[in-house]
Amino acid sequence: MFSCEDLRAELSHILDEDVAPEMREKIRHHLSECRLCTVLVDSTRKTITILTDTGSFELPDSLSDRLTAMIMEKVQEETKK
Amino acid sequence: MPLLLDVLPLPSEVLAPFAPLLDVLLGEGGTLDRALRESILLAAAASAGAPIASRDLSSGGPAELLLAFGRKLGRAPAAVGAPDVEALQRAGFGDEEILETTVAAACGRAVGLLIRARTPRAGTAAAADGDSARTGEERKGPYLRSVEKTPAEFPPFARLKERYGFVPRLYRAQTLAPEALEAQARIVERLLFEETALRRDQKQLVVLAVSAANRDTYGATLHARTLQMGGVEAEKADRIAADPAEAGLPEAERALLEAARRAGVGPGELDPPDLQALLGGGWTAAQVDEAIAVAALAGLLAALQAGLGVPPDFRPRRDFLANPPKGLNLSGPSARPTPDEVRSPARSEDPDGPAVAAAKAGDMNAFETLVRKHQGRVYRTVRGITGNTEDAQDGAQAVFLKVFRKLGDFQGQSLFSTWLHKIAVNEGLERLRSRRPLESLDEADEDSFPPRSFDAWVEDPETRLARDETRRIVEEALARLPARYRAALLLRDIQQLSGAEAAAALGIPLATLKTHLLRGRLQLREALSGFFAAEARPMRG
Repeated sequence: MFSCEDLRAELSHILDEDVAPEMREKIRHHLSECRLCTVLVDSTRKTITILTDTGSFELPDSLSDRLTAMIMEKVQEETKK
Repeated sequence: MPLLLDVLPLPSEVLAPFAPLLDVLLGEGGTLDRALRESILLAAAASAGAPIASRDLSSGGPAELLLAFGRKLGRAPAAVGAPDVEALQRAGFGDEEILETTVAAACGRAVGLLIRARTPRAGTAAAADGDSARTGEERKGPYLRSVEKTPAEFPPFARLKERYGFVPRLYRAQTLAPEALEAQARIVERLLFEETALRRDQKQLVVLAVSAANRDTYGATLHARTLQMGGVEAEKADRIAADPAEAGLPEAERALLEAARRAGVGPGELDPPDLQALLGGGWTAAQVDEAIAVAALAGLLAALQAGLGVPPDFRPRRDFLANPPKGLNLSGPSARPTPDEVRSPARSEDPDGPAVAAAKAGDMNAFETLVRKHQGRVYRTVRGITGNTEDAQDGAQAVFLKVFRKLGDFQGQSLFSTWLHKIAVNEGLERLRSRRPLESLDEADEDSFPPRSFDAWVEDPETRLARDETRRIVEEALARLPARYRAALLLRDIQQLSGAEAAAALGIPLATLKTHLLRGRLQLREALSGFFAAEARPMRG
């Protein structure tokens, strides 16, 4: 019987959509019956989407010109050495 | 739309599927002058291969920039990227104006493709010089501002959600032009989702194949998912997108998709379709008309995506820009490098090649151009690996100083951006090790991290909080993760490298990367659950 443990072992493949063909039906069947695993897959997918989407760690616009100026200053100093 | 019909060599019923959008674009209202919108539309139609003379309305004024942008979108969406949009923004155009230009050009592209498909021997002109496909290395969009709206408060979103199952980002990025958005929702509903002369699944095969032929990864990803929701296997969708001729389809469908691909891409890539042969192959005139209209819609959506820069709604199964489908004539100026050239790209193929050469010769302005273009990605890489903003600022400076010193050694064996990214990853790793010497990136994980939170999430978590707030929450959660998980998430889910690329950049085995990635995703899920579970009441402020 395909268990919740088995599903978690496949989770990486499920999220990256590279599940082996022979596993697909088992996973589909398990998800149709198990609410907890369905929640797990759904919310982890949404986590990835949010992560991809929200521009985490982006350089703030307000910092952009200042950073360029700081870098160019360092580089100019280098040329004088 | 009296003016437009005067110049188009086309019976009006051919344009009928696109009438809702034409009415909005050629009507009063909006931010741009109505006549300018019409000129952009016609210019894009001509660039997409329609043998019409587009009126030369301005001579070098600022509107000329919008027209040039529209022509490029009409001709070769795959060549349009962030720098084109940034140039308009620098020239002082507002996001509303750029959005209207994009929508008018996209609609013009559809009109142009429709005309080209019906004009014998039209549009075999080669693509214009300099239309090289963008590299995917540049800044990710969306390029323009948009307003968060929910399906409940905004009827076009309710329509789209009912059809697609969610509101695709392509539409969420257009809220500054609600009337045009409403018109698009109606067109999409009619052309992609209703059963008319063609069945719904046939229409969706057409839009998938044509999106891929346009090298529109966004559209191909979205429509493959729509097909999957209708019960089509992902692998079948992959095969159709890659090459409809080899997807094992019945002969009539294969011929329909082939003709649609010819109808839905711009001049220079494929010759126009032979519609008579299709009619002889068992399809009715109404079905052929519809397939061509759906192909034109795919061409429209590809131009919209190119102008807006929205990232795919799902992780793409294939990057069609880097890895185009079979059967396209990509020789000429927009050619992709052959595999040999990919291994050792000549300097002329590196988009940064000219600036790198100038910087090597001592041109400081050229070096500054490279800094401005790439500092965002460098900053993000160092910040993501170290989890720390101070490190990111100092680290970005150190990275470019190293680049400046080593520039003489850079021989163009890889793209400049790839070389730079490696230096940035190493800078991040060095800083991490100097601050937290005990933290190792390839540490084995014996903990199995059982999930704890099992509350269902809201359907569309990204609309629950303002984008800035979501970002703050995500960044704080990421900063608390072990560095090895955060680095995996950064390279794989934020910067979207492949697993092999990410593992190579971090110097760890692929299997280890995969483990860290899964742990990271699951821990982040726990951290975000409190905000996005349906039962949770998010803290505001």
